[in-house]
Amino acid sequence: MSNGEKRAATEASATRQSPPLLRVSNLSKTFPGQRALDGVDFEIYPGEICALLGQNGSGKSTVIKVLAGYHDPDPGAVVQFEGGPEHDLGDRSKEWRSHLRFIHQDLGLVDALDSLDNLAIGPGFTEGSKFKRIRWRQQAATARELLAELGVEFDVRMPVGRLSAVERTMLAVARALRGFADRHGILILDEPTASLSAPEVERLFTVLRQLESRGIAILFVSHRLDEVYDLAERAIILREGRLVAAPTLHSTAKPELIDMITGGSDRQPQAISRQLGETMLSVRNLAGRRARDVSFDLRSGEVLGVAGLDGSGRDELAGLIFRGDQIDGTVSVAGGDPVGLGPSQAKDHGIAYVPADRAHSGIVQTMNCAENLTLTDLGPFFKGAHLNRRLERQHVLEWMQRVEVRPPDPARMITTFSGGNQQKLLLAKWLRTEPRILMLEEPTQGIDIEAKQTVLELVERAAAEGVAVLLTSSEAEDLVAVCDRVLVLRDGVISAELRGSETTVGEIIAQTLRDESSKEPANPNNGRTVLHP
Amino acid sequence: MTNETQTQTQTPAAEGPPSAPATTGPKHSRLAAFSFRNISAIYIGIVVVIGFSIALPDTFATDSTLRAVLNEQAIAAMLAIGLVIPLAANGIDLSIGSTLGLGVIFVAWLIGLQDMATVPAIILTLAACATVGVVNGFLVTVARIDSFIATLAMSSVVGAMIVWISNNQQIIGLSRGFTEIASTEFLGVTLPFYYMLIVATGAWYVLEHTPIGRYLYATGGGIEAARLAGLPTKRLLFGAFVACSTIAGLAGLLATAQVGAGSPEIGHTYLLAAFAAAFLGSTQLKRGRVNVWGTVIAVYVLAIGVKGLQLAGAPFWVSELFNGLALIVAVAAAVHEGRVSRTGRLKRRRKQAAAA
Repeated sequence: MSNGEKRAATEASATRQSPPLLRVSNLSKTFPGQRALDGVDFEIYPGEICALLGQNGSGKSTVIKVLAGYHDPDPGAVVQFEGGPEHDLGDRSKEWRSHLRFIHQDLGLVDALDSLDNLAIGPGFTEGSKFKRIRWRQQAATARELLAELGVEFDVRMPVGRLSAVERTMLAVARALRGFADRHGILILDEPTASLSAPEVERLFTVLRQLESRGIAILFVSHRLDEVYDLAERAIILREGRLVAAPTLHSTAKPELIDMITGGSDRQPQAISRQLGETMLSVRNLAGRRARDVSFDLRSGEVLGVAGLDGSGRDELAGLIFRGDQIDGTVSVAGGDPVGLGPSQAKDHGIAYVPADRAHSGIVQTMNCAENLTLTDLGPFFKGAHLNRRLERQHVLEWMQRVEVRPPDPARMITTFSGGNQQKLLLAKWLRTEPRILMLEEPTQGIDIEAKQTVLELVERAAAEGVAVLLTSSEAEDLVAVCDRVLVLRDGVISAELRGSETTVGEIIAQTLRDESSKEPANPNNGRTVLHP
Repeated sequence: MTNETQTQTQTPAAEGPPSAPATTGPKHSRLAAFSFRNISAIYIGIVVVIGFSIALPDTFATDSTLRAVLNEQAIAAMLAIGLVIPLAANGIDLSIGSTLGLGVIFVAWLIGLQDMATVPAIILTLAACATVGVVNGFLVTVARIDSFIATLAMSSVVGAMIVWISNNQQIIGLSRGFTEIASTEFLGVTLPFYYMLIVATGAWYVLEHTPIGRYLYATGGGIEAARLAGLPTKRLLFGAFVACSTIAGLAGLLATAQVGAGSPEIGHTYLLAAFAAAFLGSTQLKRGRVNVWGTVIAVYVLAIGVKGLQLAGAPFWVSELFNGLALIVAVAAAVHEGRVSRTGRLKRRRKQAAAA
């Protein structure tokens, strides 16, 4: 589809006098101890493409999950469909729900099954009796037809896991659109482009524009602002659970939009003055599944932050160093020769690692607090040929108090502690080994504000004692709060390095979302740069 | 022991000794040790003993019955203890029945047909059975085959070796010196019972009182978290399979000594009983965790039940029926316990959230 057609479509929707397709008012959602959404009102108009924007934790996913019926909203939320009667948003029985279709970030496909099976998840293979024979040839023909409507063609009998990322997304779109009444429908996509390369994004957008021209309204979540400007006419912006604005994009400049997303009032970077020591960690040309070529040095006493979008390599960087599953590159510790890595060798080199996946990679769920905490080193308690549990308990109690875990009961199962307390325990588990290098992934994810403060303080204290800290986070605020220096990853390479007064939330976000087209030669596709030719 | 070479310096706390919290701690531990939830099998066992003693005062309530149960179950208990080790690391060993069978037939073949002396025959047998564990460990940790499938396959392979060695016939003509290791009595009970106690104590010591045991349970509780804590999870699992197979081999050669002959068909009958005991044992003492003494208790409570039923005139197949049902009840109880404590936790959290 050409730009001309897009403009025509935009004008068509600009001239709409029709009532909104969907109007949601007074949407609030309270989780235990946290208000995720607070009186959000928004509309979606027929045949428009609208972006849902906001930082992590701003409530985007909650909005989608409430619309999908996964979460119940707080009482009082009202929905109105096509100007009809108002309904309670929490009422699952109402007909309007059938006009909403969702594509979640992980697409909801079963990799081991082929496209026919995946298309049947939900609608089923047959109409009427479940015991009718499945007409496979007919199924295949229907599937090809559905995909052809989206302009794609691939082997529908191949396991979905072997399709390319964009083909999988197309399949999810095709499934979502089965039996869809176009002009009354809303397609909702949560970060559809997160795992796609630039040309793949362009293919997806072509399809989405085509759907728009069929009269389908589209609401999508994205963190990449250039894509938002490319595709959407309007944005709905959330911040800390509240609706901030719903601007029309062609009359809103990008810096203005970033201000709306971040709140504009940027906290000034703290005047951090730490004594930086010797180089502790040297990473050269590290490559993994996402990271392509990452090199940096980390000095003792320094807190180095790593920012970047999901899929930029940020999320795997610390894991590559600690787990030793890098594809390429070297890691050397304390100025020595490159070392072979793996968890136990890394531990021997004084590297500590608190992973993002707390529930499965962090804690051992079947064990109590003390057993989890001392797992990194039982040596001090193995005295007189047996484990001295009294010594262990005392040691654990000291650490529980030092990292402010409540209740300070070493015998409690670790799963009964809150996420924040678990995180503090995982930090203690590594700090007690007196590491030289501490690597943390998303250390404040899913924990309350108080625990967040404690965790960040512990990080700062460790750095003050000379530990070299690597902190990867999608929360720009955390990086600003504790980091001396922030590396921004984009498409697997370091695209920016921020120091001192440059480390502000706005700058980090601007760098992670930066539009590459201003720097590199643009290609004909709407000014998007092709990064993976 | 590698841990002794590790740093002994305990990281000193910034402040002095911590004041013990007043509200928490093991204040109920003394009483809790005798609670029904902790040792339900012992209470059930007592009820069963009293019941059968009243019903069958002449046959059941005798010291010969007690001795028979202790002697007969020593082998089964030893095998179940061996199984606890890989189970602690969440490795399932379905080949233990066949490995026990290999121990039975190999020692009989060496002594009965090759006229080997007792001690070298025992050492060779243990080595042969340990080799089965090495293969199991290799398949699970290096070839990364699921332990359920790898050991099921090995069970069949070892079963074939048993038939090949024995020609599917009983091997008799064992030396007295060999049979005496099982037939000798001490305090009215034959030696295998004491061997079992020694193995149980050793396994208990390693699992409960050394870092290796803690690491095994951590591997079983969450292998990725254990690996990322720097534990050698593969070596731990490997070692667990070797230990289990070696103990199974010891149980097997003792079974041969006890019977005085090597039967090629003995192994598989022990398999299910061992699993039933280990899982039932996991509901005892350390709830939700397989453990040695819980397993020993489970073996003997099950055996008392079977013995009573047999003395009451129940047919011979009752023991297999009883073990099968016990396995179902044990696993159901363990699952139920997990579910109850989880929903209880959820309810508590909701209440706290509502109060906040």
